[in-house]
Amino acid sequence: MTRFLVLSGLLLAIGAYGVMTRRNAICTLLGLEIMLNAGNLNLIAFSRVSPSPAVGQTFVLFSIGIAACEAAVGLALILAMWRRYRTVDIDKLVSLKE
Amino acid sequence: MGAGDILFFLAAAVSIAAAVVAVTDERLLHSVLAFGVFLFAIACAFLIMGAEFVAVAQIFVYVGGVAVLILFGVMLTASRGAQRTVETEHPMWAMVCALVLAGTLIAVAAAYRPATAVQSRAVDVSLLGNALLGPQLVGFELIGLILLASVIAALAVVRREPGR
Repeated sequence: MTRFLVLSGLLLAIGAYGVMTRRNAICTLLGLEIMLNAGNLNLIAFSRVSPSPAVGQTFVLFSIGIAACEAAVGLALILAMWRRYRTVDIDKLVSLKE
Repeated sequence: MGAGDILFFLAAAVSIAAAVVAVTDERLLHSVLAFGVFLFAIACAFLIMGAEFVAVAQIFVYVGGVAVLILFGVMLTASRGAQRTVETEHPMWAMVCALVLAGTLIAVAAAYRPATAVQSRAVDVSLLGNALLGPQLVGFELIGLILLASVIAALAVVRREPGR
């Protein structure tokens, strides 16, 4: 039990590092997905100590579904950004700043 | 150390190594492929914890859907030299933040003691189906609505405006 929580914490930190350091929008999305998977690992680990593990596992199924939605919308935004600005570098999106 | 322990440490080592490659590799394509390996390792961890259906769903949706989608995104946004433009910034501060986050989470995990015994046997798929269509029915229906809404939103965002 504890070792799954430790693994999940490590993976969340790795994903957060990716989100913080990457400038390419697709890589930021990868970091986000890694963090989501770490969360799912935690949910499954905790479902094993709940009175009904099946209900706990349904949360992970929902989480996987929402992550798929998030990836679809995120990639659509990245494609729109590429069409309009010809870059996927999130540091170059400064039109709200100017 | 039993076979389950060896399997766990194998899955943990592969997932951590693949995640590190995914967030640090300079080449975008290698990052995405390492992400695919990471997803398989997470599915193995789900299997070890007895969540068989969730492991299969992870492989179907994540490896078959999300990873391929991101791979298409890489192909569609690749220009000459774009494969190498994934340089990082402020790696020191990000590393400090990540280490603090990992340390906090590991300390909390080490202090956690489950109140009830950990169940190690696999969850029956029929139980999962009853839970999905019983107590979780509203969530199950809403997830379909969210999927539809997000597909429509994605199409609306990437649609070419007529006349351009």
